[in-house]
Amino acid sequence: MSHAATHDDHADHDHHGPPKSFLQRWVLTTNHKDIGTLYMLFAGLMFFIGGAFAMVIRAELFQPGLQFVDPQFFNSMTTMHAIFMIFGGVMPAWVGIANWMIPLQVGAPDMALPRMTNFSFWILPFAFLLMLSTFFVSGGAPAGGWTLYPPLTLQGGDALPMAIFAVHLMGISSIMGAINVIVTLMNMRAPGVTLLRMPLFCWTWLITAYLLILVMPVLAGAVTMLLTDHFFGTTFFSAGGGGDPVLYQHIFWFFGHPEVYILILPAFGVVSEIIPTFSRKPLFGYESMVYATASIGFLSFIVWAHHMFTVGMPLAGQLFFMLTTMLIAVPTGVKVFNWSATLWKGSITFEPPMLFAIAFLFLFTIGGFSGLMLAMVPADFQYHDTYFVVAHFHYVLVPGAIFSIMAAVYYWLPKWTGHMYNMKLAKAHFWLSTIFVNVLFFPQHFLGLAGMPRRIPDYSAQFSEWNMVSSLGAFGFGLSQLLFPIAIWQCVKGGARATDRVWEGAHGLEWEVPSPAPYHSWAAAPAPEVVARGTISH
Amino acid sequence: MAAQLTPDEVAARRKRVRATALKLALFALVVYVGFIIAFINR
Repeated sequence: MSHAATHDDHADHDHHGPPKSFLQRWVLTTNHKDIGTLYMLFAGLMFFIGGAFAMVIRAELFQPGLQFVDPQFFNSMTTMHAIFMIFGGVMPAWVGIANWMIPLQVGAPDMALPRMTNFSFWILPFAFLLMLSTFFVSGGAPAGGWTLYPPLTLQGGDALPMAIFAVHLMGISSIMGAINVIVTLMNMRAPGVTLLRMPLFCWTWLITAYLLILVMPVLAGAVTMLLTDHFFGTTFFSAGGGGDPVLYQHIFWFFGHPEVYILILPAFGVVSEIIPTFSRKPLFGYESMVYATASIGFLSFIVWAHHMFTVGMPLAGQLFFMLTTMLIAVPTGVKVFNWSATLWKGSITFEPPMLFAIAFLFLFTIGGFSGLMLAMVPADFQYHDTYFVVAHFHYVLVPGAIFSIMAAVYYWLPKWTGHMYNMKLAKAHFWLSTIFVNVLFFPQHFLGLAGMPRRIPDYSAQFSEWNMVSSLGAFGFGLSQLLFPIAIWQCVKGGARATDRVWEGAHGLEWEVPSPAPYHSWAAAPAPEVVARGTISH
Repeated sequence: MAAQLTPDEVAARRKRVRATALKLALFALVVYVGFIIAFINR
């Protein structure tokens, strides 16, 4: 069967194991699996550093008044929490999973540009070391918010050029990663793996990669203009010299909104892989999923000003951005409908990846609905810059993007390590995360609707109760995340042997190679019958 | 059986890979520089 065929394919490559020396294996490697692992380890570290920043924020907000940190440091915490979670956590985690899985899923021996895979990873530790080191310079770490709005951000200390250079490095890394994904998917698919036979994870990543190449240079341009405004006397964003600070907001959000979809589209792909597996049914509406993803990608470029309705734009502008934003609900609705239809009459089981995927379905949708509320201009005037916005984007990013990353790890971990993990521990991780994430973020809707502004270290007494609840949820959520590395570590060290297919209902080329996936896989392209079995059939 | 690419096919694929990567990198550079130039003397 598949087992024999795959072993035949790999028999003459078994002797090409990983290099023995640590330097060659982990620093100089061009192997997509090793670099994928490095990316994910790095992302895990950044999640815990960014999480520690979040704990400082919630500890300070546990009760009114100033308890632990001064306001300047509090503002640094909110800024650095966002930058570390977005650029250090979620994005590298997705790139890591993409590096690991895309070649396996399309029958390619490796990424198309293996040395670039290495380079794009090894830029990141330097970028984030530079970012972390800003805590020790005069003026402290950036404190103007992750959006780096001028003129506030230009009034900081020595951290500005360091933060800007770090953002440039992160951008270069992302662009190289994206180029690699596009080139791999366009040129390295095995014969028979046509575009419309690719798994949804590859499709969502292909569209994500195009978004990255379109918008990361825009962010780089925006921060370069900040740099020249500060050091070289230009006035792009200074009204005093004929510039306009609102221009920065337009440019930033032209990057920023597609960035949100960069974080969430791969999550859509993962959920589209997991739900069919554990429903034991093919994905409902595969092609409509592809078109919906492409539509979301396109629409993400024409909605940016909904982040800045209150700057004072013409009514026609407000209407345009309100309506285009609401339009995104259509392709997103197609996706939620397709996932629900896949579940319909399925033979469903609730292994950890499926639990996280189902939680994603419900909780991401809550974030989607609060997004619709924020899209309405008159309502947004009330919600803008309140905790309602914080609740909204955390519902989208935590039980949305981060739960999907956890789902992906629990889904493919047996393929990566060759062992099954401790199901009870993984389920405990799921239930604790799901309960605490709601305790953490749901009350923030109430706080926002009651008028509590975001990015403040102190608040009036009327907000005390729900802030306390939210902080307790945060501490619980933070502590429950410690189960995740324990479950992964145990799985790496041992456990029941994983079969090649791992999950009974799994379907895809990655399940046609042995578990753990050999160091070199698909050195010879998969045979037509393997491709027919392991790709989407219409 | 497994389909092995011929050396010519591998060479052609390598050429396509380089061409696609170069085009994408050039595009990113043009967007970066273009966005800055677009706002000079605005």
